[in-house]
Amino acid sequence: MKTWTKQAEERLEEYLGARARREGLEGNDAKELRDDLKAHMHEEAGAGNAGQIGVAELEQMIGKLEGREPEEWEPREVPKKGSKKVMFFGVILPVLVILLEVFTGFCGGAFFDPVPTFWHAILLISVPVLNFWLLKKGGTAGSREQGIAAGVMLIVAGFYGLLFVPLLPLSIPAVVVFGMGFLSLSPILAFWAGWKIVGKNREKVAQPWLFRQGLRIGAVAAIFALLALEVPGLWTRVQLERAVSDEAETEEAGVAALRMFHSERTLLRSCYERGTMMSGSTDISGWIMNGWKVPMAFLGESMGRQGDRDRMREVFFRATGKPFNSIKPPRLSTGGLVGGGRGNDVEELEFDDALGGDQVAMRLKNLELAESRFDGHADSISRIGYGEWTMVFKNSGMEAKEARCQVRLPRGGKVSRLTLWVEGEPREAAFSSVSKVKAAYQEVAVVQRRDPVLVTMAGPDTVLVQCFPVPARGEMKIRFGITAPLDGELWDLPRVVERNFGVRNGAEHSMWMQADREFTCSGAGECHKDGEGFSATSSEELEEVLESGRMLQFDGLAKVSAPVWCEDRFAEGAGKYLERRIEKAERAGVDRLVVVVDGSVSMADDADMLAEIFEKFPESDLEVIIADDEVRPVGRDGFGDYQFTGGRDNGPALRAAISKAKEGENGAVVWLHGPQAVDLAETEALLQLLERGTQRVQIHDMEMAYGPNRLSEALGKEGLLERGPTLYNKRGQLENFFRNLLDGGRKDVAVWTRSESPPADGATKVWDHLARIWAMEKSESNDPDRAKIAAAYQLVTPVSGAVVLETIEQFRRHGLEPVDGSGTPAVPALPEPSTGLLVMLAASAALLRRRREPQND
Amino acid sequence: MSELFGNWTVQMRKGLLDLCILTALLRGEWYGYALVKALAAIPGVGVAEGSIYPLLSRLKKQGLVTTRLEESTEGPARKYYSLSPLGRELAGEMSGYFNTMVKGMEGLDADGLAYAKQLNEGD
Repeated sequence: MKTWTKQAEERLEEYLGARARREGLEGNDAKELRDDLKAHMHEEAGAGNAGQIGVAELEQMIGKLEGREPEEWEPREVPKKGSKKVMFFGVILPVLVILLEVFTGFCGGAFFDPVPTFWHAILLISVPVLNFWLLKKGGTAGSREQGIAAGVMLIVAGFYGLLFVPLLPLSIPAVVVFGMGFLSLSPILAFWAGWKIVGKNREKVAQPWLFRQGLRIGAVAAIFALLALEVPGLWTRVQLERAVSDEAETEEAGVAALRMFHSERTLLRSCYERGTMMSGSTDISGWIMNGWKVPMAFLGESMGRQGDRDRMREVFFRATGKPFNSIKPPRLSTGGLVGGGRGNDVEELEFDDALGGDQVAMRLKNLELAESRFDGHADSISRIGYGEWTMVFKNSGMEAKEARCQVRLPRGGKVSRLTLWVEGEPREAAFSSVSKVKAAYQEVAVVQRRDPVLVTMAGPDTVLVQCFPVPARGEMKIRFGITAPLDGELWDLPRVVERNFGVRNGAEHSMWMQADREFTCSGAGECHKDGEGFSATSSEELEEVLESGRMLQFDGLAKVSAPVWCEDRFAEGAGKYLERRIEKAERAGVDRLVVVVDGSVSMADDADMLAEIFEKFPESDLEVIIADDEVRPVGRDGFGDYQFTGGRDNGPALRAAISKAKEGENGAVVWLHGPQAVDLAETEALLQLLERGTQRVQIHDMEMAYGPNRLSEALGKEGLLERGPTLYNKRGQLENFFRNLLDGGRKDVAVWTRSESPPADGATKVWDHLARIWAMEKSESNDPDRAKIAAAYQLVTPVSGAVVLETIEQFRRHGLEPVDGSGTPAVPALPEPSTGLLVMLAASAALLRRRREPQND
Repeated sequence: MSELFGNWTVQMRKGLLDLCILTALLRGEWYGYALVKALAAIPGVGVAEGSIYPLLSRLKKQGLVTTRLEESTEGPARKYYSLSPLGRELAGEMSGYFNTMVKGMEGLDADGLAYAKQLNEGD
């Protein structure tokens, strides 16, 4: 194949143009003649001996074609007609519109974000860049290169042009009436200009077949790029539509398809999109699905079911196995670099419809946990830990926001203190019935928009913390104290399982742990001697530790706690000295044990380990079923080809397990699960099965992966769930747990005694958290005064809550009385052993001294 | 004399070129470049190669000729020409007409010689 010099190409173009004019041809006729003659010249060139075709060789060929002698030729500038128009619509206007979108997010805020990712930005900017290059520099490049550039440009410009077609009914009147509207027309105009530019270049190129080849390559490459960017989103949108269908079969098929493949970005986005016409900002895939409805929306038609965000959030969990609010919220629109304009729709899109409610709900932008510290004290004598978690929220948004989170407390723990800083001063909470504190919070926070904080129980060992308002461009500081019994030798520290706020970049979680004897603490490492006790400190990345939590462990504690007592300052009436003795009680073995394994993706990592454990138990002792939205029995050959994917509804399997457990005389269910982030199960049917009949079945709740659990919350409120031990060694602990359940044995039972004077039977005096432990047990019993007791002992329980209001007057108006600051629990300033231990140490020292005295004599 | 002859050949070529093209295409499909080369090589036709393409284009517009493109890895797509049914019919008619005329002219030559001889003998 012969190469042509640039001058020869220019001369050929000039000759072809002149020849067509000489023949009096125009339009397609002229083009056909040019193509025929060009093809002839290339055949002629190919047949010749010259390695490269220059002007001289070309003149020879032209002479032959014309049937005359070759002429001398000088290149000259040919004025370009219409190039200003295509330059404006193909280059200048697209650049201006892209800059406008980047700076104001105009389209992103109103209709759809045309630049959702960096790669979209590259594609979009390629249109004016390639147009400019084809106009100005393309002639110097090879035909194939020009073709590739043209192919890419035409496909991208055509794609974006098509995206804006639904806006034509708005754009054209806007241009006519207001002179505006070029913004949405610009992609269509850019395509038109690009088409013109490509047409010109195609006529001029020396090797049109290479141009065509390049055009195809460029077009295919651009199509692949667009497919790679948009197909995952489109697939997800299509399946999402099916997954929210009212027909059960379509719904299941949609969810199954999403479990197989989905774009998490698109799924997450759908959880936040509102779906109204002017605030229905979406991404490209959402626009392709619903953009055509825009003109209809102007005629009063509905935009569809995009606004059903609760359904979308449910599908998100079922498809991914993750709570939608566990992920940073999507950028719904560019917002614009200048932070203003029509596109800065962030505040509007963040309309928090869960304000003051019982759900953590959507993650809010601009609301962050900026600082976090935990101070804890563990007492090995009383086997009780008390810790205070201080959180500082910052709101960088333009509107006040409510911070909400669910905190998983240590097993058996309760919130026993709540503090809010108002104008730098700490204010303590009032403890009262749930209805009273909620009413006060609603009235003061939501209606008056003043400064309260509320803590209520959300589920087993789980509290919902909510505070409002975290002021615009301001911060809010709260602290809550937790009293909890140790779990054997462990104290599993609290963790956040669900939140509606982010974590400030680089923020750290500072931890100070102290105890009366040596301990280890994950994250903080080994402790060191500190005064009379021991302490350890750590400072870790907050994002990492917030949800994973930490654990304090004593080594070598006696299996049974020694008798302890405290002076119960909360006691009303007789018996302010409260003693606890741990006694052993017989526990019958379970004759029908059914294990329900959550089929969600969160269990995938534990599947092999669980299969190995189950192998050790005969099927007659332990039956296993997978909660696979339905019920799937598991043999002893493991889980087979079952794929742990998405988030599964555990309700049907739990119902089946309870029915099976009821077949025995003493049946039990162990539920091994991850998060159940949305209400999937028919909870009432489950509760009915648990509550009715002569035989009650205990459900042992084993949380294998932390996260919000709506099913646990529902069952826990009715007291039908028993939270299992903290799993720090899943394999060993689970096997022992199953064996202990089956074999039966002895369990610890606390025996409480009240008296008018300190016990004189060798019991050790400990801190007054012991009295709170007593009150916790009471609050979970059927005692008619349990709400009163819980409030008196400053505990957040299923029947009591805590609220901090801004003023005494607000407290009084709601019939509440805040706790006296001097009466609140606190982490001791210095590690101090239990009083009992001090007495023992003092007695030992005295004994030693007495023994030494004779020797000194 | 040579000017008269020149004018006559131009008129002659103009009329014959269409016939040459149609006659060539009667034998089958031709690649455009090859057809142009073949036509330009006919002794006496003396037409510039570049002039044939507008002619082909005109025949195509008149519906006498059809074209098809075939992609080529060596260069531009190749354009192939063939007769349409109308072109085939016209080519047949034109060819028949031309042949009759030539035969007549050849006969005229033979008859003319005999007639001249007869006249001379008669003298």
